[in-house]
Amino acid sequence: MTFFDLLMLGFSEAITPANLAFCLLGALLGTLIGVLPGIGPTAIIAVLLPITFFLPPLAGIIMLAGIYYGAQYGGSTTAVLVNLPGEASAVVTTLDGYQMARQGRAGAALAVAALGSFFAGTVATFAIAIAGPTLSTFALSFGPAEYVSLMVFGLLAATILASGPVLKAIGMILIGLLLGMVGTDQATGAERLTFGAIELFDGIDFIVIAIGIFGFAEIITNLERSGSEGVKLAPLSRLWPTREDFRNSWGAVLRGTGLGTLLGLLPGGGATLASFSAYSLEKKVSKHPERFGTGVVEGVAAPEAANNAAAQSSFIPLLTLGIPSNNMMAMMLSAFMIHGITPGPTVLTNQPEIFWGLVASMWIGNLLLVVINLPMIGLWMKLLTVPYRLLYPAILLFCCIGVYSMNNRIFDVMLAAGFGLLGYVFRKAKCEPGPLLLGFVLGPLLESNLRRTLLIEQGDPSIFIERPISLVMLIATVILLGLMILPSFRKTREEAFQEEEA
Amino acid sequence: MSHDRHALRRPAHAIEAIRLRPLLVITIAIVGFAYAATHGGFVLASLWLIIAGSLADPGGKWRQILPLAAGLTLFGALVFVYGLGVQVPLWPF
Repeated sequence: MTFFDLLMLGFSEAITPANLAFCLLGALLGTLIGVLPGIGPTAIIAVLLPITFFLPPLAGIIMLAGIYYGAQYGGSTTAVLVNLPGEASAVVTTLDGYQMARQGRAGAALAVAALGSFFAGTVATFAIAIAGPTLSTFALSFGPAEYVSLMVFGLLAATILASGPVLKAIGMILIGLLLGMVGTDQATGAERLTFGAIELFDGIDFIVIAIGIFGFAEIITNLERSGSEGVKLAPLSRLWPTREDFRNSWGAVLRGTGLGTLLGLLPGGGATLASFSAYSLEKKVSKHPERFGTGVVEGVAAPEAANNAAAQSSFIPLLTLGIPSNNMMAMMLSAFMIHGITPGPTVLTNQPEIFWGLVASMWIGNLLLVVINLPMIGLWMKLLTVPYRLLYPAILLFCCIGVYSMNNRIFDVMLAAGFGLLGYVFRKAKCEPGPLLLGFVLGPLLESNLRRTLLIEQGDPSIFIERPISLVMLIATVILLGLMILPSFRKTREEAFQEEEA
Repeated sequence: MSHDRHALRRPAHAIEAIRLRPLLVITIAIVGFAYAATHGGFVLASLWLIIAGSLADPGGKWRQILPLAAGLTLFGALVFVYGLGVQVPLWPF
């Protein structure tokens, strides 16, 4: 089938009433959680994961994807109107977006953000459609040895691109790998780290960890901040940007889209990293960098385009290689697994409707989001006045039901409560728990591929440096490790993330 | 510079103050839900979870919490137990 036929297949899948409805639902939910500060896409997707089990595979995945990129749209709304990032990736949007709002140009900022995001989403959708088949033919030549090296590289790279100290990120990954080992060993049948508990023989469910660490722990830390009152907001002005706004922002949108699409591909990359990098790039190429932070339209256009592009392009490694690059993609991977689908090159050939349906739904979702966000903006802003104290009991209930419904047993709920405490400790210790999820998901994959390689080679590890692709990955890993230890690189990395913490 | 020689060391950060109220209340609410769901049915468990959980926030008012608990329990029972077929008894009897 040609490219065009496949794209048509995708659209015919995505446009069925049920799939369209789930796409809309995902986009609405994504906007909702994007608008509401304190509720992130990771927590909500963790809550909804068990529910997708009751849906057809494509519908569930379309909805979850919609939540992720929808949150990028919604996050900008809060950032511009109340100077609160609804989403981590919208932090930089507050810098210039809120200043624009104070000058009475809130409408222009929101419209540029939405239209820039739509453009970026369209480009990123095409990037997936083009890169998907190309990369997956490449991935078909991967043996277990290549996968091992790729995963080692991915895990290490994820720590560098995550914010916060590298040592803590590596620690999180190791804990994740350890948690992934719990249960009966597939090859020998030996029990590992089960402490004799029958409930742990099948290992720990991804949802238990995700809801514990991201759902419960997030509720507890949010309540500590005592920000449970709703917020007051600025009045909204005329919506359409001026001709000058358009002229100033199109270059920024193009650069943001390009940078975002590339950064989304990297392990550990994703929407947040992309929006920060796009903002600093824009500041560097600008003729008047001193005006950034006072309400320039480029400072809104670039990061908003970049975060949306990256949110979508981060699907590429997952869909083509079957390897999630950040914690959101780890969630998506487990959404596929719930339905017994292992994402990767074989899905493209055996179940093309899944891949192409998802790609087509992303473009439709972006179109829906522009409609949801621009004319309906007043409605979303009303939601901001709902206090958190009325929202969190609902999230708490959905979390509990979600965990319980996986296996219908209280043990999982108790375990999730335990992971909630653990997640709380991590937050207090300033350990970003994202890499833990990545390690947990990749651990079993890494282990089984490593075993397979060594089994084929009868215990001889030299294959890792004899296969060229594997060798390149390992050299890249060593270079990364070397860079991390170099003081000058560490300094620049810390400076790059300083803006983020401010 | 001593900073450069200790490439893996960094200045210590104090741990933020821990507030026990949300931590304990939320954890106890969840654990209580787990027991109540199997022994007392979904309705009691959900009411407990929301009412107990709401106490984590000092600003809660009973005339907000009670309708919220009733509404969410009804919603949960309709959507999850009837709609999606989650295997949990509704009532203790």
